[in-house]
Order: sequence, then structure tokens, then C-alpha cells
Amino acid sequence: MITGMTRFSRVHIITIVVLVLYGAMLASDLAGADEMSRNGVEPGGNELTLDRLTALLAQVPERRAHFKETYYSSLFREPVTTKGTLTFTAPSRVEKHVLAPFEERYLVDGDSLIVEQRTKGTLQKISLEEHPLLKAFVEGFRAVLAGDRETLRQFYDVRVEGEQSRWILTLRPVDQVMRGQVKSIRFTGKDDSITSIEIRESNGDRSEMVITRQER
Amino acid sequence: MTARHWTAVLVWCVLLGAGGIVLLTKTSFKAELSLLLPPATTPTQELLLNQVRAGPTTRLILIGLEGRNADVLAAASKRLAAWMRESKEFIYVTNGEQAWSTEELDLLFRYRYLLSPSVNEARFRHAGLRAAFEDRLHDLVSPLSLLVKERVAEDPTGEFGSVLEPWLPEVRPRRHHGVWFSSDGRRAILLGQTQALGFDLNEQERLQAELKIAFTQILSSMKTPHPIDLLVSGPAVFSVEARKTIKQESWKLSVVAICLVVLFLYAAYRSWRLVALTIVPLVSAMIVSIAAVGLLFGFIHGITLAFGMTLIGVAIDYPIHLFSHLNSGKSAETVFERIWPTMRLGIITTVMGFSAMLLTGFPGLSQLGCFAMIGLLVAGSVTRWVLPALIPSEFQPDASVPRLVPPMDRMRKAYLMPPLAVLVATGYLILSGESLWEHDLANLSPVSREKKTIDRELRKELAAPDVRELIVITGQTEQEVLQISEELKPALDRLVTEDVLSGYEMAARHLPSYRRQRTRQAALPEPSTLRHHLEVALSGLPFTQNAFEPFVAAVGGAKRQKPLDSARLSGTGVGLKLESLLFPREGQWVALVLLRGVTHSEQLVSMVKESNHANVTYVDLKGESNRLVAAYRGEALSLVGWGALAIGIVLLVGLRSMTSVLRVLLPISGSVLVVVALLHGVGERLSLFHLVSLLLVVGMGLDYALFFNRSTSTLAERERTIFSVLVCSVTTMLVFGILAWSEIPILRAIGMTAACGSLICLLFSALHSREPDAIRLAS
Repeated sequence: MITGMTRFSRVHIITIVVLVLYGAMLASDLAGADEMSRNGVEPGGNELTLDRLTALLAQVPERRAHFKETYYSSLFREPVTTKGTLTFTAPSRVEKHVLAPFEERYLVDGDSLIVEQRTKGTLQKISLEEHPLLKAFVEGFRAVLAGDRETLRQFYDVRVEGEQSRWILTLRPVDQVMRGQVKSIRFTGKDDSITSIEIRESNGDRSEMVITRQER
Repeated sequence: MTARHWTAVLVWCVLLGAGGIVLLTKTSFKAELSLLLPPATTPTQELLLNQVRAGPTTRLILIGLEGRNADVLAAASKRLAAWMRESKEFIYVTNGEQAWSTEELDLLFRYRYLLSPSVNEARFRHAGLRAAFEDRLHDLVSPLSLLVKERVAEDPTGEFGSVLEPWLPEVRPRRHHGVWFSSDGRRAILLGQTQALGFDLNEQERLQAELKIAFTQILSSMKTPHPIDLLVSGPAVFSVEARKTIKQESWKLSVVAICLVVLFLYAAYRSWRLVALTIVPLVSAMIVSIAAVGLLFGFIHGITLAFGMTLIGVAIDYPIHLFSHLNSGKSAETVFERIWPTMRLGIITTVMGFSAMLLTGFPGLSQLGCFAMIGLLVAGSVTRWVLPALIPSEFQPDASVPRLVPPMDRMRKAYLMPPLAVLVATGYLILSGESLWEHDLANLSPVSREKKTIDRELRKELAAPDVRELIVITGQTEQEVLQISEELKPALDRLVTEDVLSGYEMAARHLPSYRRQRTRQAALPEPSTLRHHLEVALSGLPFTQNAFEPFVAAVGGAKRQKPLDSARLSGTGVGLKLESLLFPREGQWVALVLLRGVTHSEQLVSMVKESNHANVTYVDLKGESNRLVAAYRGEALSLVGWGALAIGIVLLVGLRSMTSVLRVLLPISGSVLVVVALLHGVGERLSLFHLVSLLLVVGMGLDYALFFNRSTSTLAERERTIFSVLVCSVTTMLVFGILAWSEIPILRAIGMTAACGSLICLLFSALHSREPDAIRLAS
């Protein structure tokens, strides 16, 4: 160590070092508190983590948006487009109401998927427990809209890219059977709202949903 | 020992040795209850026999895994189901998981146009096709596309769904993590059908033990802190349990009884050697009887063994008579000079009484009769010729006989009591409004109420078919029975909507007859026609031109397919499941309709009648079983007449005096009546078991009465006679009295009947025995 210094001086140096370290800790704590008060939002330019993103998304208990969805499939000679509204009510109610070119409502609430065909007047109830593939698919959406990190991780490998003002969340199914059908689901968004959803299937088909108008 | 003794002992050893060897090597013990059933006389009975032996519902095992943590239960359910499937002991196992293999699904998919009930002409014309394509389009642009996309090009009309639908149970249990759960979520539930026959108790017992072991292993390997209870139920489970309970209980009670008897005999004879020798005739009888029955019938049934032991119980009386008369200086041979005629008469009359059982066509009764007859003859012979060789001639028994004559003479003053008792008993039996007989076999079951509740719960949750009712269809060919099933279907569906029953299962729902398959094939259009309809139907829709070529190819192929039948399906999982519902038997084909939740069986019976087919029968297994037992009982009762006649004739020949015959027969008949009245009075309803025990009572009664009525030359001799009968009676009462305290209805029946019978026979024969010669008494 520093020889020749009096014991007193050594104590001084140690104290200063400790104080500096302590001060740094304090400063970062304050900064952290500052962060907390701004709900964990980092100043622009920093990396966004899954935890932060889902926390952000979880803050919105109700969503209502208009969408336009386009389907590209080897079965279709031209892409098929549907328009309608997408509603979400925390924690587990998702409704997709297709308005054009036909009217149909898909409601996920709890354990079942209800399909209502307005033009035909039929109602079909499908138990998600009996169709694990469908369940995983539906949970992907629900969990993202609700900011439910645990459920997401249960069914998907998750990757977050970008920053808060423009982020990309990519889901890849964990289950082998599902991987045989769905390759990935990609959400893009800004802050706490979603701007588009793209589903890529393993056979090359895909669908793209663009949020055209967002209401709260 | 004389030369005669040596010969006797030698013969005895040889016989025992041979018997022992046959027993150990050649005798097969069977426990299958259906072997006791009489040969069928009507086709219904034939079917019943078959159903009891091999019916699918008797082979169902219902399993519940009970615990608090649903995730753990689900995991355990999957692992247990996997073990069950791998063990190859089960025809099928369902727990909610996808039970179909890819091959099975492919098979059903390939034949969908022949199997699907929704195939008709309209479906393949442009209007029908258009509707289908619109639906599929909506599906493909919805979350449902995941479910639909894989097969949509080949099956746009969705026939595969219609094919799979009947395989799904009508009442679907709740699912969690992919496996079935009870509606309250406490239990994961599974269902399995065993390869082993339902009434093959040994196989079922082995299987159930293996299941329990496997479950314990699974549980420990899962290392979960949450405890899981394994609940197993079903008819086979109940039968195994009943047998185990009865075995354990009998074992326990027998040990107690034997201890008591040994102590009592020692108290009576003060000699361990005599006590040991008492069982020699009984054991010899057992060995020889078992070996003989095994040789004559090819096997010996567990029930024959159990009842047979009861009946040979009278054999313990023979050495007791010998030992009671042994005293100062008299060797066994001398004793026998005096008592052998009586004993011999007793043996022969009892054997003749049992011989009536050989006359029946009921295998259970004839085996039993044979067993008892051989047993008694052997016991008697061993007592007569072998025991004397085993007692040293200078043997002096220490015990002195208590003074029994004065009390007995005093008792004889009450000679009016037996007739009075008989009168009262008869009157009671006539006037009593209650039924004398037990009609419902279920009341004899020792299975606890708690287990029956669990069975009911599991059965309801799993929507397992009832074991009781079913409809049986027979015919010359497979197609004939399938067609008849199809004809019954609308009527059954109507009855389901009317709540007469909650559901049914038949092979025809999964495998249509040739006729129906060909009708569907005819409804399919030719490829060129179909393409034309397709073009029209697709116009305006965004599908590519060739999107549904696979569909056209599939329909074209289906038009040329050979129809499916059970032969084509055999070996597949689908075929296995159908095998229990549709099978050939003795040159005919049988199709079963399993029923569930029947509330008004009369309506089913009338529906069957109205269907106007001679070979459709409504079977109520429970009713038929009870009827069968009643038949056994009726048969047994009718034999009573023959038995009594045989006994009467032998007695007449042996006693040469009508009065003596009456003195012997009347107390016995009287005591039987009184015992029946007593049993009825305490609430016991008579069953076959009581009847068999009454046979034992008759045997004992003959023994006591004959001894009480034999001529005795001295007072001392008379005292010894009374003593011997008393010892016989007390040992019987000890053994069967213990049984009477059992919780198990069957054991209690046997115990009460035999113990009461022994006492009452003793009293009645004593009170009506012949008056001792005044002259002889004086000297």
C-alpha cells in the first residue's frame, strides 16, 4: 500500500473512497427512483428488455383498434384482405370482429373460443383445452396484449429488438408440433401500443395485420 | 399292531402320497366364477354366459388419481397411461390424451368418404360445395386456420370431422393439460379395458397388483411433495376385493376357531396325542377329495373347495366318537365293535344325502357333492382302520367322563318342546310377510359402501357404459348384424332424446355396413363431374384453380375403394376397440349395443320387440344373474326331496325299525325348520350359502341322532355316548360360531346356520332319543 503515510492519512483515503462509492450508489439509486417515477422508461436510445416491454403493455387494461389483415397463401390466387376491430379487456378477453368482406366474430374468453357467424347465424364453441395448438396460438396474442410474461415464455421463445419508441417482439413456438405449422409471430409497436402483427407459417403462408386506427 | 393294522396304514400312506402328488402336480385350481354357471338352455342364457365370461364392460377398469395439485395429477395421469399402454395388458387406455396413432388417423382419413355419415349427393353439387368453400375460406382467415389448413386441400367438405365425431365420448370430461379431470378438478381420470377376462379373478388380481406397483414407482420417480391417491374401480376390481376380503377374514377366523377347538379337545381328553389324531381323518379326506375331484372334473373350483371344507367338517365327529369311548383297558378295536355300526350308518346316510347333488346339471353343485361324498368316505375309513393303528393298545386316556346321564334324563322330560318349537317356527314362517329368500346378489357383496360410491362417481365422470343392460344382436354374417344395428339406431336415438337412456355405443356407429358404404360411394360424383361442380362453386372465390385437385383425386379414389370391414381393421387400434362390440362366435356374428344410464328398461324391451328381429335380445345381466342363482336354489331345493328319500331308505335298511327311523328323521327335520325360522327372525334372508350349511346341519343331525338312539349296554357306555355327541356339538359350535361373528355376509350365513343347527339338532335328538332300557340301567 502507500508506505510512509501516516495511519491518519490512510484512513482519510479509505473514507474518501468509501464516500465516493457510496455517492455513486446513491446517485444511481436516485436515477433509478427517477426511472421508477417515470415507470421504468429509459431515456431514448437504451435497449428494451422483455420485462420492460411487458410491464409497459400490462399498463393498458383495455384496447380497441381497427385493423386491416392480409392473408397470403398458396391456396389463394390473390391475397385476401379482411377489415374489422380488435378489442382486448384485461386480463383474458380478446375479441376479433371481422366486418368486411363478411361478418364474423371470434371471442376468446377464459378457456374457450367462440366463433359467431353473423351471416349464417351460427355459433360454435371450441374448447381450447382440447386443441392445444389453438390454445398456444391464442395465448400468444392474449399474453402480449396483457403483458403476461410468464405465459408468453411458457409457449414461446421470445426476442425483443429495438427501443421503446419502435420495438419488435418476435415469438417462436416452443412446442414441436406447433413449430410444424407456425414459424413465428412478430409484433411491432410503439410505446405501449401495437402497430402490426405478422404471422409466418411453416409452409410459406403468412398473414399481416396492420392497426389502422387506435382507440382507447 | 397287527398285520391288519400295518396293511391299513400302508394303504393309507399310499393313498395320501398319490393324492398329494396329484394335487401338487395335476390339479388345477380355477377361480373364474362363470365356470359355476349351468350349461345354457336358451339362446339368451348362452349370450349371458358369453357376456359374463368375456363381456367388454366387465373388463373395464376405472381409475382416479386424487390430489391437490392439478398439474402434478395431469403429469401422473400421462405417465400411468403410458405404462398401461406399454404393458400390453390393456386393449385400450383413454385418459383424454390423443389416443390415436398417426397410422390410425391416416386410415380413418383415407376412408372418410365411406365412413362419414354426412356424405350425400347434395354435398358434392355446386350449391353444397359452394357452402363448404365459403366456410373454409372464413376458417382460413381466422384463428381456426391452424386447425383447418393441414387437410383442407384434400377434405374441404370436412368429412374427417364427421368421422372422428362418434369416437369422441358423448359426455366429454373436463380437460386440463390435455388429460381428463373430474368436474370438481380433484381427480385425474382414466379408463382402461383389460385383455384378461372380467371374471378371471387370478389374472385380474395380478394385473391390479402390477398397476399399483407401477403407480408407486411413477409417484416416487416424480419426486413431488404432493401426495396422490390411486383409486381403482370396476366389476373386476370388486370381485378381486371381495375374494381377498373373504379369504383374509376366513383365514383369521379359522385360526381362532382352530385354537379354540384344540384347547377344548384337550380339555375333554387331556391328551395332546389324541387332539393331534383328531385331525388326521379330516386332512386325509381333504387331500384325497381335492385330488379326486381334480381328476374327475379336470379342475377344482375355489368355491367347491370352500364349501367342501365346510361340509367335511362333520368328519371331525368320527374320531371324537372313537376317543370318547376309549377307556380302561378297551382297545380301539373293541370300541369299534360297539360303535362302528352306528358310525357306519351315519356315514352312509350322509353320503347318500349328498349324492343327490350329483344328479344336477349344475357344475358347482355336482363338484361339491362329489367332493363331500369322497371326503366323508375317506374320513370314515381312516377313522375306522388307520386311527386304531396309530393309538398304542395300552393307551389309557386320563379323562373321566362327567356324569351326564341324570341331567339328560331330566331334560328328556321336556319332550314336548321340540314339537312346540316346530309348530311355532312353521307358523312364523307361514305368517311372515317378508320374503324368505335373498333375491339380490349385490347384497351378498362384501365390498364397502365407500368403494361403491367411488365407482359410481368415476363411472359417471368417465361416461363408462353400465355393466347391467345391453342389447345383443346375432346373425349369420358380420354385415347382417351391422345392418340390424343400423336399423335400431333411429329408435335408440329417439329414446335418448326421451331420456329413457342417456347414451349407447355400438360398432355400427364407427363401422357402417357394406350396404351403407356402397350407398355413399354411389353418391360421390365422378372426377369429371366433380371438377365441373368445383369450377362453378369456386367462381368468385379467391382460391387458385388447382387448390382442390387433391380433393378431386381423393373422391375419385374413394369411389373405387373396397368397403371397410372388421377384417380390414383387425390389428389396428380402431379394430381393437371395435372387437369387443362386434365379433364372431361359434359360427355366428354378434354385435353388442352397450347402454348407459337406463331409466326405463321396459321401453327398451318393447322397442326391441317392435323391431321384429328374432335375433335381437335385450339382456339385463343383473336380472339374469339373480335368476340364475334362483335357478340354482330351485334345483338345490328339488334335490332335497331325493336326498330325504335316499336317507330314509338307508336308515330303514340300517335300523330295521320304523320307529327308530322316525326318531332320527323327525328331530332333524324339526331342527332344520326351527333354524330357518330363527335365521328369518334375525333378519337373514336365505341364500345358497345357507342352503349348503343346512346340508351340513343335516349331516351332523344324523350323526347325533343315530348315536343317541343306539342301544347301550351299560350306564357308563351311555354316558360316554352322550359325552361324545356333546363334544362333537361343542366343537362344531365353536368353529362355526366364530364365523357367525364375521362382517362378511357369506361367512356369517354359513356360521350362523351351522352353529344354530348344531345346537338345536343336539337338543332335539337328545329330547327324542330312545328311552334307555330300564333293565340295563338297573345293572
